[in-house]
Amino acid sequence: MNASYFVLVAALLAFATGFFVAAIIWGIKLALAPKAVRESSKSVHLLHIFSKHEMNHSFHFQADEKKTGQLNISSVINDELYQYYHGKN
Amino acid sequence: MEKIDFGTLFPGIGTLFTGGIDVLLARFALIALGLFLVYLGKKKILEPLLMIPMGLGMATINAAVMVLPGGKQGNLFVDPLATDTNELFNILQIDWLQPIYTFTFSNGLIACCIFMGIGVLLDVGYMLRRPFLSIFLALFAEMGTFLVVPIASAMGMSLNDSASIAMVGGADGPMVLFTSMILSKDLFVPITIVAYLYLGFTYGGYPYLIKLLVPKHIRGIQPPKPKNLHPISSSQKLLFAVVMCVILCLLFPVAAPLFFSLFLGVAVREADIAPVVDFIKGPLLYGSTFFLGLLLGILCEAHLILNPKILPLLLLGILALLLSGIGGLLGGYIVYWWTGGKFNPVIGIAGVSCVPSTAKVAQKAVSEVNPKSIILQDALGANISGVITTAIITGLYVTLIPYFLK
Repeated sequence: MNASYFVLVAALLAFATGFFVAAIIWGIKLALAPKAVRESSKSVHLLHIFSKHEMNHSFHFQADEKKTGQLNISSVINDELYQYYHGKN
Repeated sequence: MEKIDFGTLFPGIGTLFTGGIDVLLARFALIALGLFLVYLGKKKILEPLLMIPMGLGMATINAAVMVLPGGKQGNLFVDPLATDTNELFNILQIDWLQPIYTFTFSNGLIACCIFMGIGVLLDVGYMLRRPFLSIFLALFAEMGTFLVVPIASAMGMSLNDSASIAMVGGADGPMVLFTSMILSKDLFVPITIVAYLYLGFTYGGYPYLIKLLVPKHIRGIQPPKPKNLHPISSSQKLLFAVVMCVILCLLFPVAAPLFFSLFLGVAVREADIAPVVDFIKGPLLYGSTFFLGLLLGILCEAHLILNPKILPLLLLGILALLLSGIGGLLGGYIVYWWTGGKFNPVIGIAGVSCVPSTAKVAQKAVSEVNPKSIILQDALGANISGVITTAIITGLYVTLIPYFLK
């Protein structure tokens, strides 16, 4: 009983602290991001909170189309990672 | 001339027959286990940097038993039980590994040095890209760290010992050493050895766990490329390290040495102080890991495995890692359902913080089914978050347990 209660308290506190850490990271990202990205991120995250999932999705695409150079770097990284992991072949 | 018998001439052999049959068998078993670990290290089945010194140390310490002045059996390596200051001062001048044990091991310095090295090797940018996702997966991958506490307690272990062995579920060797040295001084050697031996399980066992719990068509999912990601600058990473270090130390002062060491490593890396980075990730990290393995092996005396608590520790250690793996996949499945089947749940197992083994295991399991599916970025994010969540849980356990024991 004592151990179960201890684990319950520890797990709740761990989840709370973990998400607190994630929120701080998000804040740091937002604070130090370039202005254009910061505004876009703010809007996207607001939509995440207040609107439906489908709307978020469409907004993401709009935001990306406007700033493809800045925002769509993941495709490049993926190719590099693919080469790193599998070799050039 | 005084008569010298065989046992006196060769005390290592002589003491085999004077300590009782159980000690005799235990010494032979540990010599054999030590040699087997050296073999596993040489074959690279387990980490050679740890296994070679640990295995050879284990075999040697159980061979080099002699009769000390006063008739007591012992060795000239280390006496971990010496606490009296005068006695300790004498031993420091006799036992050759005692200075390293006393000044680096028993105060946690060696664990912190390794953690500093891990910090230098971590690119926290992977975690910073998708912080909520990474932390969510890492928290689910701590299931073994949570669930093994009541299980161990139900098996008759104290809350301190239960929490220490449960930390094996975090799959982070220095963290297990740090926690068990604070909470279970009597059992910290076997618990840490169990942790280091079982870390090989993440390489050997997790691929089977993934195949068992994730069907092939789901395993090969290529996650969609996130749309709003942008490069994480070194300033952001440095600010993250500094802010996190201060906040987590503010929350958990008991685990502050661990947090400080980890984030100092990250900060030095991101500040690009090249000579210090080279020193920490080279001589400091490798030297500390080598001496950690050596001391763990040397501390494995025969009396250790005669402790009746060892068998439950062996079972609970493997259970903790198994449950953490299952928890990670469960977290992955929750995100999979949440995103309408677009997320690859295998990424969840990388939340078990064995950096970077579990991330590599996850990528390998996915590549076997779909070579074009690259999950390594998200897996490394979860992996690095796992180090931080394990450190948070260490802080929580060490802080909370005294209140529950009152």
